[in-house]
Amino acid sequence: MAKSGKKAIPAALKADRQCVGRVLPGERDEVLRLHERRAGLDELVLSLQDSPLLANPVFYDKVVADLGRTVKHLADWWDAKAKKYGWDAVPGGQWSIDFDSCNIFLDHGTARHGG
Amino acid sequence: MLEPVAGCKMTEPAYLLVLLEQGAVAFCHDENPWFHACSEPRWIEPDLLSGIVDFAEESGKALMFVLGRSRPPKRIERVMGRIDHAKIVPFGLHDVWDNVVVVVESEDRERFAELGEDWARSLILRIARRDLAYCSDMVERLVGRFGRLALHLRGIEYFGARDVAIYARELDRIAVVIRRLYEEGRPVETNVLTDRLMLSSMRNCDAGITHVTIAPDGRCYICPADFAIGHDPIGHFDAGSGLVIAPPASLTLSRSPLCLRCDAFHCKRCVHLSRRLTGEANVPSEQQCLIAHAEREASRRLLQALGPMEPFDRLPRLPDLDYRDPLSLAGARPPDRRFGL
Repeated sequence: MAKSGKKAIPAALKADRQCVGRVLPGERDEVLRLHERRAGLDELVLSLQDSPLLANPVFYDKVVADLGRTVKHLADWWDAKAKKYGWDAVPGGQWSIDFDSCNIFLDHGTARHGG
Repeated sequence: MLEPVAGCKMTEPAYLLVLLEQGAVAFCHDENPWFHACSEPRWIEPDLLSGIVDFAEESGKALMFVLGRSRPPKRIERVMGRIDHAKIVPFGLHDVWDNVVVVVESEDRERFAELGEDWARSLILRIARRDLAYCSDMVERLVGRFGRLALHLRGIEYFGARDVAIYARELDRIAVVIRRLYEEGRPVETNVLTDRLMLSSMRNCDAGITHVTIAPDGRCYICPADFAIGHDPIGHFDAGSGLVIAPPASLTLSRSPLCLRCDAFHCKRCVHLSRRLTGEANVPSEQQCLIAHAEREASRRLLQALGPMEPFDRLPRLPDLDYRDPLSLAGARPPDRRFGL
C-alpha cells in the first residue's frame, strides 16, 4: 500500500504508472544517497554470506543497525515528501522516483520505492 | 514584458512578481515541485490580491502575475483585470490569453508545434541538463513562434566541464540560426546571445532589488526560487502596511567584487544560485561564471559573423578574453586592493 493515501482514486489512475509529482533536485539527492546506502548494505550482506566476518556478532549488529537506520530514513523521506506535496496514492500502490528527472511515479502494486 | 534595471541601487522595487498559487510555474533556473503535484491549487486569497493591486496602483509599481497549471477562479481573474499587468504562464495555458510570457520545458519539445506562429511572442525555454545537446534543435523548432526567446538552464548546480562544453557548442549552433533570421529580416532576440551585444554595463536579474516576489500567503521572497525551496522570507505584504521588506545588502552589484570586474553584462547574476552554491549571495559559483562566459564568447563570435550587417556594424566589438572564469583573474593579475582580490 502506498505510504499515505487519503484521497479517492482518480479515474485517470488506470494506467500502471502515473507521474504524480516532482521533488527538488536537493531532495532527490537526499533519497539517492539513502537508496545507494541501502543498496550497498544489501550487497555487503550478500557478498559476506559465507564469510566468517558476518558471523562476528559485533560486525553483524553494526550492519543490521545501519541497514535499519537507512530503511527508516528512507521511509521517513517518503512520508515527509508525500505529506509536503500531497501526492496521489492508491491501495496497494507504491511511489517510485526517477532519479534523473526528479519525477515521482505511482506504481500500481508491483514497484518498490527507489529508482 | 517588464525588464529589470541593472546595477541600479533602489530602495524600492520597481515591480512585483505575484505567485497566484503555490504551484506557480518555475520560469527561471529553479524548480517548483508543487507545480507538478496533483492536488488542488492553493490560490492566493482574493482580498490579499486586491490589496496588492491597490498598492501597486497607488505606488506606481508594475505587476507580473505567475500562474500555475490551472486557470484562476473568476474572483481572482476579476481582481487581476483591475490593473495592467504581465502574465507568466506554463505551456498548457499559452492560448488562454494574448500577450503572455509562455514557459516551455525542454521535455515538451515534441509539442512545440502547438504554439502557433507569432513573431512577437515572449517565450521562456527551460532546458534540463540532460537535454543540453538538443538546445539548438529546440530553438530551430521554435523559430517563428517567438520574438524574444529566453533560455534558462536547469540543474546548473550539477554542471561539469563537459556540460559547459556541450552548451558552448549548442550556443554556436543557435547563433547560426539567429544569424539566418537576421539575414531574413527577422529582428528576434535571445537572452544568451543578443542581449550582450546591446549592453555596455551590467544588466542582471536584480531579484530583491528591482523586484520582489509575493507568495500566495503574503510572504515576500527575493525570488520565486527562494519560495519554492523554502528559504526564509525577506518580509511580507498586507493591505494595511503595504510592502514590508528587508532584503540583504549583499544582493547589490556594488557588493559583488567578482561581478564588478566581469564584462559578461548579460549574466543573470542569480543570487539564489550563488547562495546555494557558494553560501554567499554576492559570490557566484564557478558554474555560473563558466556558463555566462560561454554565452559571452558565443555572442562575440555572433557579432563577428554578422560583420557589416545593419545595425550590428555600429555596435562595439567584444574583446577576445584569455580566461573563462573571472575568479582566475584573482591569481593572474596584481591584487586589486579595492576588492581584496
